[in-house]
Amino acid sequence: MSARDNITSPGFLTGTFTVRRYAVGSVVLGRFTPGTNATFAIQANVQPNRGREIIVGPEGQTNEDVRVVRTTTELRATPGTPDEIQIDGSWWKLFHVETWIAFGGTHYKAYAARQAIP
Amino acid sequence: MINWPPLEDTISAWILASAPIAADRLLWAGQNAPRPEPPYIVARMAAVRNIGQDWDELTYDGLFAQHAVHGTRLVTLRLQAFGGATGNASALALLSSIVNYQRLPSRLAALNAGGVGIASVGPVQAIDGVINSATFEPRALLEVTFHATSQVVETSPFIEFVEFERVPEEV
Repeated sequence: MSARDNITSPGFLTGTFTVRRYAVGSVVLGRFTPGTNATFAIQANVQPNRGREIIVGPEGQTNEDVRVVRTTTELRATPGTPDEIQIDGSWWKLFHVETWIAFGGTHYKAYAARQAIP
Repeated sequence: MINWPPLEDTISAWILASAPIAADRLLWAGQNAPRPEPPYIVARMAAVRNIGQDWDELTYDGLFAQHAVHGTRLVTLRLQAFGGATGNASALALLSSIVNYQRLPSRLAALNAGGVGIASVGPVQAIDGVINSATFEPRALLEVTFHATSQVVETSPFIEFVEFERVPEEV
């Protein structure tokens, strides 16, 4: 069994997730406007990376949280408009994507950061 | 307050009129935009400070008084260029071009129309760096200070006159 087969096996998947991908944006008089976005569903295994952590600052407290997403669908950490994935009802931005061409197929390991404040 | 959007547009047009870059190669900093292909310029409003004292203006309109406070601000614009090493599209040349063109009547007229007056233009400095671990990238820095105006207004009820009427006491 390949790593790709492992990821798509029912025992490994944690669910179906919505991914938002942006078209190329535009710049007018120095102002950037992201392109339109389209959504698609992926099957993935989503796990906590370090857990949700409280960041204490004089400006207030907030949460930082990163999840690890393993999937056979290509994910992109495009500068400016990285893919976003909906987890637990909020949108998380992908900031690191590893493409693994090994173990009998290609799969992707991505890190997604929670964007909600706090 | 300073009305920032038209001010930014005026500055953007001024930069694009003088620096030989494509229109989409000028970016305001901090937008989380993707990094364009060089040559390009990143602009940033880096500081704002008062010049002298602000002044008041009171106007009356029947039931309301309008209190406006006007002021002059000195704004520091920081421009960073990313470009080639040589030629007219080098990082240093891009920003030098802005300095060279700034006194032309057409440039001054466009700035004046947008409420901007150049106060000082700093030196263009080379601040080269390395990108993608293995690529040397020529970069340059220029600071320009300009005058802009601020205006804040509040409106409050206004009593123009008071008339007293004495009611005779009953005997």
